[in-house]
Amino acid sequence: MLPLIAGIALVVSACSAAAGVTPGDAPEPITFDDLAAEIAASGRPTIVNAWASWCLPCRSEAPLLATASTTRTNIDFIALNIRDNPGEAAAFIGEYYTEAQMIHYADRSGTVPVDMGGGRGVPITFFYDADAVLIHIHRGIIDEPSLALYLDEIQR
Amino acid sequence: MEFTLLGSAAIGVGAFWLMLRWEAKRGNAAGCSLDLWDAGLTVGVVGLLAGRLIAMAQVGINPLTDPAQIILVRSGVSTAGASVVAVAMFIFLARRSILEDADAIGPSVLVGLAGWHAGTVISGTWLGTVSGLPWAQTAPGSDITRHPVELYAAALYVIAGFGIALWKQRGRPPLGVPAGLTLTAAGAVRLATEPTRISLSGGPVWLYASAVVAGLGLAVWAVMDGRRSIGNRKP
Repeated sequence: MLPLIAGIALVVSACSAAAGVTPGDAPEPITFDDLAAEIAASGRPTIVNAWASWCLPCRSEAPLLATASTTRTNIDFIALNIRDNPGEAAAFIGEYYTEAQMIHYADRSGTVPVDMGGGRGVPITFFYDADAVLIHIHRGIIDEPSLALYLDEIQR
Repeated sequence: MEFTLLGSAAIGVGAFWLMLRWEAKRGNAAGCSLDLWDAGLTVGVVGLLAGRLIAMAQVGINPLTDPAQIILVRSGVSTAGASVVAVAMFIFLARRSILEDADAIGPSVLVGLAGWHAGTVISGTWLGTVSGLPWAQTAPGSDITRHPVELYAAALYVIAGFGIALWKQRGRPPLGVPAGLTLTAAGAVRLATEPTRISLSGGPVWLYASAVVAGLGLAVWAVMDGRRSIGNRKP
């Protein structure tokens, strides 16, 4: 049963396409050093969510992250688009993040999450406290209880 | 990460099955028109599917244009939607002997819920608000101790489930009272543990309160209406 579900998820993930999207702005490229410096300089708790428009779980968790970004305004939300086409990324942002309070960056090579201590898979979410200490890495789709827990952790 | 959620669900289903077996050996299913195991699984799957579809609609994901999203249960299930549809599905399936079936399956449902809540240890979503109590636990990589809120819920569900089951076996309560108490317990446990939960939007407290009120109403009605005890059920 589990391999069947996993197989179906992989197939539909590869075949998924955005429908009815409104194009947004393509995110600006960023390097690991610049991103790390920005997190350190902010002095605020920060989460970095790496995503791609071709990633089905990223689409699924995007509304939750968008909502959290508008309700937890004392936390910086950085959306890092990786290994993606700028046009597709812009369409994704237009579809899910027009109302979100997020900073958008892109990493076409996909090496930034690896350098941050994560991996090449998406989605992946990094939680930093106000001192820019990495508190937690959540690999895979994030659910509301996990997001709420680690948002609470980085604010303390 | 989806597999950890499946692990939690498997523990819940396993606990439900074990409780059904334990009760079946004590003549629990007398008077039932349903196969309780089949009914439980059907109700669970239908409720889960409905809850997922409702959650998708709430965040603006169209299941017709994005059907693959339905299987990504981890990204959200509407508790209220799933609960209401599950109860409606059960009433439909058990329409020929609703109270008998509800009395029979109730404790197993509570123990199954206990298994699900305990299983959240696997998926890492079992901790709540900050606590200094001796049994408080920390999240991975953290030194902040928190209430193991899902274990509180699991313990309360086990107590309620076995309490109602033993009362059924020994006290022979009026028909419908165990079902009413099951509904009451399902809501009351969530209400009791809600203050120690953390979430972005808060739980559907109205749903839990409604379950308590409806369950108590059913139990009182059953006591007043029926003098038929479980021992006098139709064969």
